Amino acid sequence: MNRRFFLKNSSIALASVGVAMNSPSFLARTLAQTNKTGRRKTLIVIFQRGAMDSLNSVIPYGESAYYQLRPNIAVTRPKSDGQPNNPAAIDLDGFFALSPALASFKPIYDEGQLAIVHAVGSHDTTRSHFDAQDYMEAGTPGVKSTTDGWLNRYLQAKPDPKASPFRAVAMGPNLPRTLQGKAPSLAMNDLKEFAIRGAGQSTGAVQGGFEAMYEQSVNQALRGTGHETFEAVKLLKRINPSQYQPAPDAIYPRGKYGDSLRQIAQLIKSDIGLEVAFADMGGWDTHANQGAGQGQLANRLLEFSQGITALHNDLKDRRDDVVILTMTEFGRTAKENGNRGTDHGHASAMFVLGGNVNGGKVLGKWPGLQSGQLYEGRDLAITTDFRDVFAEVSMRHLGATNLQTVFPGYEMKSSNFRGIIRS
Amino acid sequence: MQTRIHKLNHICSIILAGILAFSVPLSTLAQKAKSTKATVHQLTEQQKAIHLLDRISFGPRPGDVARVVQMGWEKYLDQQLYPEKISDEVIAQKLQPLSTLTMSHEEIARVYNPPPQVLQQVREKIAKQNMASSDTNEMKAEGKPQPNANAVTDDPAQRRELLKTLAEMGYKPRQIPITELQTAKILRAVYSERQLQEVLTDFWFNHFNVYAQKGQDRVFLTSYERDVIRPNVFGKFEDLLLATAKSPAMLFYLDNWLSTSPNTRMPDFQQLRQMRQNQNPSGQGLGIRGEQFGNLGNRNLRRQEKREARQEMKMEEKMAQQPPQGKRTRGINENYAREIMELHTLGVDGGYTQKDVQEVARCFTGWTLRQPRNGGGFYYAPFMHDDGEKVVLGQKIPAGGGQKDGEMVIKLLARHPATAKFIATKLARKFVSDEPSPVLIDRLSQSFLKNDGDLRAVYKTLFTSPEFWAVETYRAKIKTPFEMTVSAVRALGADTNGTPQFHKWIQQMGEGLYLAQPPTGYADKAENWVNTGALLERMNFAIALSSNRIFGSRVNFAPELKSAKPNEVADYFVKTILHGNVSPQTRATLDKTLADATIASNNGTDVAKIAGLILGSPEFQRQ
Repeated sequence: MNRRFFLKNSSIALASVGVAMNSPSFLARTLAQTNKTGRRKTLIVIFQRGAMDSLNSVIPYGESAYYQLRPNIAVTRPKSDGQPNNPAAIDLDGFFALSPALASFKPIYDEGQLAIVHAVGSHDTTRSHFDAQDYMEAGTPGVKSTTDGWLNRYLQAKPDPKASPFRAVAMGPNLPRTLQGKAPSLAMNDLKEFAIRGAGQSTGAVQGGFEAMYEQSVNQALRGTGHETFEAVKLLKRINPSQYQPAPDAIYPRGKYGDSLRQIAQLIKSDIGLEVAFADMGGWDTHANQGAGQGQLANRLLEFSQGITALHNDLKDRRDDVVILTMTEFGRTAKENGNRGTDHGHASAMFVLGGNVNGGKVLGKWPGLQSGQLYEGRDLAITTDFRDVFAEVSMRHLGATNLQTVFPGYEMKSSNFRGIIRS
Repeated sequence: MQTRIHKLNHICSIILAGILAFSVPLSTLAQKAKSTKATVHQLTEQQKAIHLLDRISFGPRPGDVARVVQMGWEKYLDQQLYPEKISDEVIAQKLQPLSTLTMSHEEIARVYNPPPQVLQQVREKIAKQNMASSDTNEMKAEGKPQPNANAVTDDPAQRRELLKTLAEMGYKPRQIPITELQTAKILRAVYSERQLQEVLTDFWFNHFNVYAQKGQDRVFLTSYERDVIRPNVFGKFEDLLLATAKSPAMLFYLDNWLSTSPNTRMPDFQQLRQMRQNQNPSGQGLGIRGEQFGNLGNRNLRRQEKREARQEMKMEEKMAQQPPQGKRTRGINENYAREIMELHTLGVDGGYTQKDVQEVARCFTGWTLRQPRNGGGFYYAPFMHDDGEKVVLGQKIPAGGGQKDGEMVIKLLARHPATAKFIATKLARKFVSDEPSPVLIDRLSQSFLKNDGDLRAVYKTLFTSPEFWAVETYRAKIKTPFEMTVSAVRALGADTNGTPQFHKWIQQMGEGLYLAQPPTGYADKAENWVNTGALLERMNFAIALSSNRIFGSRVNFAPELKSAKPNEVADYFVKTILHGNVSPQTRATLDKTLADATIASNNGTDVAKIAGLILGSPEFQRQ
């Protein structure tokens, strides 16, 4: 075979998948897959740790009880003249209104790409952050010994032998409970750090040395995982994380949370096979001085919504493939406490964004805030089990079929679904 | 010319041997082959020493393998099985500065855990100061909430101020007890001579896992490991089980301290006062909730009790990190009852029913804590206890047993054949292989039952079983992140002070110490530790450690290595770190890397990188 012929053929082969000479093999696989089956669906999960006060985020201003229960911290009614220090809520549907700190959500809601599920949560009675986060992430309320998380079980239930190492990525130092389990998932603090570090000018040699040694390991697990690791490292290097430019109208808030979301957008836009992404944000445990239209909670909501809005804008061309789903372990007491804050409660709210989201609506049944309607006389009652939200998104957006293994012990009925995803 | 002749001779002799072989009778040949096979499939003395050190210690240090070969593995094992006879001065000295290690939970609570009242006062003071400095007079007059009065817990500046104020009051940062525990665990694994004891302490802590970040458990964990786990790892399983059942750490972690009989009868006032005097000399609240005092005869006294209880509850509600448990205090909580059977004793397929869970939960009602917020310990509260008759696993527990109910359950579970099998399986998985053989599990179960749960006897059976010494077992386990990092320090003969900079690496690989959230603890199978991100961190740790880039850890390579050729340095590390356990292919691969100009530069050989390559290699991940 002459050399010219070889070069010619290989260049054609490479051009057809559009990747460079040293591209990792699964990238070719991913691209091939994408070409055939259309773009990959992605779910972005954002966990608000500490229990968001849903009643001051999505305000039931149509209930007079709301204002009676919260004389000092209620958000001013929409259309009234908000004070500079206490801006008014933003009306959604004549009954619910958004906190002014969530103003950037309003246009997305109006476009029909943001749905809110109110009065959602777990029927388990716990008011412990630890237990409730655990139950929500494991997807098995009341059962502590579940070893894996529901997102991981989703990945297990839909095995993908050709999956990219970036199929499931959590931004942070540790894999969150919800992604722990048998299916490979990745935790990363920072895309830039996902590399052989600290080897200075020998980085190339050291990386090559490790790669070659793992390729030869007699231990199958080490060999296989080693292979994937170096594919991932090389791939990320090609993406060149430090060079990323978000869309002009995607302005991420500064800090860890904004950075996480920006990097998730980057992974999605790089088409490296991301299917499930996870980020979290703390600071929701507002026991004292939580404020109303401004203040402590509003500051958190502002950062929270700015991040999501930036992500939504950054993924403008891909909204039909992406769903952003937020969750928090429980809600807070309907009545304000003696410190102008709220204590641990029961139901809360979730935000769902995406091109195929049945948006522009507050979904779910409203249980009411009259004293007889409150759970244990103090908290917003639950009318939607969080598993029904997770299940609907897994099924109608990601295309999961076997939900029994994802939510063991829960009898799934699609009649309980809230119609979050347009079918 | 000389060598050629030698080679020729050599070839001739091989051919000759071949011819001779054919001339011997087939039966002899077969026999010979069989015996050769048997000898091939046995570990050499050196391999036995490596194997034992890999499994019952945190890996060999320089010289350890030779030492064990010399004394014989039997003797080393015997020493390790009786740690009280091993002098352990070095580690004692290293642990000295970690002052919380010797404190009681009450003491830790006092110094590191300001009571809710104090926290609240400080918070209010800071919030007030902030309001005063930024508020307009008009708003103050109206009494409106200050819009920017961030809660102290969330605003970094206010949080700093909170810590500063608390420090001035004599309170120390509350994460210190856990940080010191993590440091101590790393130091013990690296330096203690009682290696098996440390391996087993890690194993049993993980079996009876408690999560450091669940509320008050940060106060209880030090004594949990020191007084509950470590003293019992060579004892009877039943004692270990009972100690964990009564430990504040477990009572808090799995909520049993809240579990109350739904038809609880309140004690009369005399009884209540008596209890208060007996159990709580300080005369403060009882440490349990007001709802339970509903049936007191005297109305005024009842009011007083309620008021106190209300106050206590209010204080607790104010604690940002400590959720009010609210209604959970009323009624049975099944968490502990379920986990003691599923995770601590019988195993998930151990043949118990949901009804058994409920009955066991009834037995343990009243096993509670005295003021956990103040670090108070176990006490039995008769009025929280369901004193009716129960049936557990078919065995009747008569009414009126009080605290004995729970103790009977412990006895019943500790001797149950399903427990023997469950513990045998976990030990075999930890020390032999991810999928241990049923024969081995059965032998260990029998040993457990025959010796009345004497764990030392079970270990002896385990470490002298043919399965433990089988060739297939040799280097068949993947090290956990903790094992990998610590064994690397030991293999290099390096030093570490075990501070958070070292722990950070273990945590990034997914095994943060005392940070396993679920009661299952960390898994003991390769699949849980070998994943893309974690594997990369192993390699990065290897490079960081050997390059002295981990603060508080230090390795000094022999200076002459720098002037040696890269492949000689590699030879040296293959021998000292891997004890020769490397395939020819891997060795060849390594040599190719070593030819890189950056490894062997004019400044000498990059010894650290070569050591890092060996520590991060697949060979070093195995044990």
